[in-house]
Amino acid sequence: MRTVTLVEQSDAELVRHTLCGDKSAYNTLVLRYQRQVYNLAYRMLGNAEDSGDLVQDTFIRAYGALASFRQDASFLTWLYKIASNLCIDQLRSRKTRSALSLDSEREEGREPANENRCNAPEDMAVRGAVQEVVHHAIQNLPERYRQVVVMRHLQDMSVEEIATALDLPTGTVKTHLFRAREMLRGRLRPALEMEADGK
Amino acid sequence: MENRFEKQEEEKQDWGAYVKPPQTSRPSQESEASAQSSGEQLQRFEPRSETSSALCDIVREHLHALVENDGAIRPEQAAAMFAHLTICRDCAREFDELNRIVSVLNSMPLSPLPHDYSGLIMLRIEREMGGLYPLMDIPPNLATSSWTGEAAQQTSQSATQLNNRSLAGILSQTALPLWSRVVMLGAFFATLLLFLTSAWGRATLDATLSTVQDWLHQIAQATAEIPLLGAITAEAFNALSQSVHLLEETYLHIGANAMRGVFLDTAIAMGVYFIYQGRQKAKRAG
Ligand SMILES: [Zn+2]
Repeated sequence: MRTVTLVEQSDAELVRHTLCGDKSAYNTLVLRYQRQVYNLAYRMLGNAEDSGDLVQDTFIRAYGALASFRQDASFLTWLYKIASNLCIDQLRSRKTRSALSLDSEREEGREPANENRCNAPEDMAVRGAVQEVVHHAIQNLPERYRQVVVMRHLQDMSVEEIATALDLPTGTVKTHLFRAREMLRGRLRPALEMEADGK
Repeated sequence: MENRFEKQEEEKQDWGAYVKPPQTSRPSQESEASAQSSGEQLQRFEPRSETSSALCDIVREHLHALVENDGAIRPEQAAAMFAHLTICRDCAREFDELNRIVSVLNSMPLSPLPHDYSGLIMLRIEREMGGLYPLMDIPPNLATSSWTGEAAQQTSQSATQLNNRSLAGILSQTALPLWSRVVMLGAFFATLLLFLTSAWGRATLDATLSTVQDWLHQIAQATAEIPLLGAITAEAFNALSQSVHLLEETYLHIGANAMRGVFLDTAIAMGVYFIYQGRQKAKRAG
C-alpha cells in the first residue's frame, strides 16, 4: 500500500482524496495544472495580471464544485471548461465597460479597437517577434473563435476535448476553428511573408 | 456578411460572361469517377487558373478539412484535391498559407507561470470555503491507490447496503439525507402504532413500558447522589418516567381506527419512497 504513494497519483485519486478532506491533494492538482490554465487565460485575456486572477478563480470555483466532477472525465478538460467560462465572463464585462466609453460598434470579425490591438505587425515581425504578432492576432479574434484556436493549437486539445469543454457539437468546433484560421491567414500574411523572407 | 455574398455572385456572373461554363453535367460526375473527372476538368481549366473556377471553389471549401487531415475527407477526394493543388497556383498558395498558420500556432510556446499561485489559492480556499470537505465517507486509508480506491468505494457501498438493513444502522448513517431520515422515523412510529392498536401489542408494550419506567427511576435515583447537577437530572428523569404513563394513557384513549389510518398513510409514504429510490438506482446504473 505504501509503495503506491511513490508513484504519481492520478487526477481521479487526488480528487477523491480532496473530497475526503485532504487539502494537500488539491494543492497537488493546482501545482499540476496551474500553468495550463494560466496559458489558456493568457491567450484569451491577453495580459498576465488578469490571467493570474483567473487562475485563482478557476481553481477556487473548481474546488467548490468538485463534488459534481465526474471521476471518469478528464480533470484538465473540466478545468478548461470552468476557465473558459470565466474568461468569457471577463471579456464580456470588459466589453460592456469599453462600450460605455467607446461608441464604436463591435461586430464579430471586425477588429475591436481595444488595448490589445497590435501596432503595425510588420514592425514586430522585423524585430523577430512573430510570436508576439500571432499573440496579438489571436487577441483580436472574436471570443468564440479565439477560445477554439487557443485550445486546439496552444493547449494541444483534440476537437472532441474542446467540444466537451465548451459544450458544443464537434461540427461547430471545427467550423469555428476553420473560420478562425481563415481570419488569421488574412491578418498574419504580412508577418509570415516577412518571416519567410528572413529565412 | 451580406456584402461578401453579393460580391461572390457578381464575380461568378462576370466570369460567366467571359467564358462558357464547363459543359459537363455535374450530377453524373459526382459518382465514383469523380477523382478522374475532376482531373480532366483541371486540365481543361488550367490555362485559366487566374480566374477562380467552380472547381477551385470546391477545393477551397474543403481546404481546411484537408489541412486538418482528420479523416473527414475521403482518400480519393484528398487525392483529387492534391492533384488540383499541383496545377492551381492560387489554391496551392492558400493551402500553403493555411499550413503555415497551423504550424505557427502549434509552435507557440507555453508562457512561463509568473508566480506559483498554489499558496494563494489554498489560502483563499481555506478562507472562503474551509469546511466544505470531507463530503465522502470513504476511509482515506482505503482510497490510497486507484485500484484499492475503486475497491474502497465498492466496500463502502456494500457496507451502506448492509447498514440499511438495521434501523440503528440507518439512524447512524450520517450520509443519509434529512428527508429520508424523517421517513425512517415515520416507519419507526408506524411500527409503534401497530403495536399499540393491537391487543397483544399493547400487552407486550405494557410490560416494556413498566420496565422502561423502572430503569428511568433507577437512573434518577443514581444521579440524585451527584451534588447540584444530580438534583436537576433526577427531576428530569422523574418527569420522563411520568410521561411514559401519560403516553400510555393517550395511546389507549385515541381510537384504534385513527391509529390504523395513520399507519396506512405512513405505509403508502414508505412505498412511494422505495419506488423513488429504486428509480434513482436504475438511473445511476444506466
Ligand atoms: Zn484552384
